[in-house]
Amino acid sequence: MALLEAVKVTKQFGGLTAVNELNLVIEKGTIAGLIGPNGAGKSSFFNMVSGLYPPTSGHLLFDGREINGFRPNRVAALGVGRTFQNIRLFNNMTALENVLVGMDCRLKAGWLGALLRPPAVTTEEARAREKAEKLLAYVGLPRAGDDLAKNLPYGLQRRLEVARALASDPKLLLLDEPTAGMNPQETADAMTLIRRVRDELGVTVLLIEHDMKVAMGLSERITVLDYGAKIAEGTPEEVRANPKVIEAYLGKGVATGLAAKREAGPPPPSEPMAELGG
Amino acid sequence: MTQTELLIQLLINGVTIGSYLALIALGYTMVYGIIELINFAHGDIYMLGFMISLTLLGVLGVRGTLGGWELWAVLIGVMLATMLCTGLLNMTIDRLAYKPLRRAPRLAPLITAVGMSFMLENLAMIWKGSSQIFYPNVFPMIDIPNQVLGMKTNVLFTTKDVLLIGVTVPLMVGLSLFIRNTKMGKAMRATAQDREAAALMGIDAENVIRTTFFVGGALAGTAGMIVGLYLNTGRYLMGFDAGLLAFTSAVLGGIGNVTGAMLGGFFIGFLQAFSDQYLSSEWTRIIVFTTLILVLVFRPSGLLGQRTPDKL
Repeated sequence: MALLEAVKVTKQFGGLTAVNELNLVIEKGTIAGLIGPNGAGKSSFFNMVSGLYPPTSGHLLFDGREINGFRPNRVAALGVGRTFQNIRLFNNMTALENVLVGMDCRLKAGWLGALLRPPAVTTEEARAREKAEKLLAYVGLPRAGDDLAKNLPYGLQRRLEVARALASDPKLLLLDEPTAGMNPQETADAMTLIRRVRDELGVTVLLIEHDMKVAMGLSERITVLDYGAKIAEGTPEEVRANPKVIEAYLGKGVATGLAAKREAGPPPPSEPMAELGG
Repeated sequence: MTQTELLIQLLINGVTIGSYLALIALGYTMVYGIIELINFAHGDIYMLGFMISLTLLGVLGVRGTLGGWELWAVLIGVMLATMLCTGLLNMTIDRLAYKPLRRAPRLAPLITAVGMSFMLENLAMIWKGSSQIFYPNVFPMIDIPNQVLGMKTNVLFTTKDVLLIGVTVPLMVGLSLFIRNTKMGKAMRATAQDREAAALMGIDAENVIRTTFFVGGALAGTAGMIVGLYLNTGRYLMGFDAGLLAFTSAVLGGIGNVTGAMLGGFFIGFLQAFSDQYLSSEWTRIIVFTTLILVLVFRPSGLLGQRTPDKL
């Protein structure tokens, strides 16, 4: 069953077409990858899904419901959580508070309740706190609750962003370059975390990733964008062997050269992408 | 008056002036923190708090000093009603004048705020006239050191000072706790730091903005009423003067920073008290704004402000 479906989604900024008639289906329970060279329209697509701007044309369906033009907080309330390419934590709040902010749309108390503080509100707050602490422990920040987000090391900030996104009990988690800037060990840990989020919490994951090893290693299905259009789709193996993908990444000359080499002798199919992932 | 007495007197004056300025300054700093707008109409909300509470007292038929349960019932009732009125009024102003300009360049809502300020002032002039208005002396004035404590001193510290501080300081503490601990407070801080990221995390930014205007308006309205009870006089332009000083307090403390606004309010209060005494009241404004300029030269983001806008 499709959790997220894009039907002929187009986004134009003035004369620039960032996303061009994109059709995309993300099945419930999968880890899907969105790759493509810089400026291919991956982040624009994320931003449309999360409600930062509406598509110029086309339809976005989440859980069978059209979400075109929904404001970000409504999309989040429907069950879309996300992280950012450049970390955007609330720096001057503690890690725990960051997670609690992520939970905001799931808590009922209004501002009147906040002022008068009836027992229902205090128990809800206590429960929210408990859940936030559990989430911090889940992503591997068990003792960082009282630290300001800005004082955490980079790798932990990325983890905190995941915890904050998970706080709203999302059905779909959008990860924008979750391992950008990480060292190999941190990258491996992040990959384990993302798999656990899907396997244990049942959250569908869609990720943008530049690191080919991560994208290929995590995703069950990969969609490749170039100049806003989908040029390939399939399992990592299918995508890796697709000449159009190689061309988009390395240029036409290299692609034909590789094709010629392939005709001459059978090279391992992973070779061109291994060069990319490097 | 001995030197010590004078010093104590000036400190008392500073705290009283500072406490109501701080209460108004909070509204400037909170709104700036969330939507980066200097709400120039905010001082006039304070003036309307004065006018509205005055009208409510008139409706209740209160003309002179009250005592006993009657005093507290009237005081608390009128204060809550005034807070509700000025809070809703501030929210309405945002809805009508600022919300349509949310995505416009920053100058547009700023100019609108100046226009809104003129509108409110002129409406108040039509409503209450342009001369000084008498505000009934509802709260009894008792000289505490001489009449209650039986001391012989020239220091004037009355029950009205206690009222002023007793209302404003708990409100400030309450606001700080509200912002630090409640769900809405956290949403406010998150929105102030990164409105877009907050929205993407499911926070309804418009709801946060509405609440901010309501709370700011209610605090300014309270300040207007308390000053009415304290000074027993006011006029339609009183919001301009107080607004300017409160705004200066907010900038001095680091605009967008709640603690900074309170600190700035008391700082300006002391400055005014000492300048009134040792120079003359005509010099006070010059001193206040010179200090502002000096602080901004050496600490451009205010006393508690950080270089990256650390808002709320």
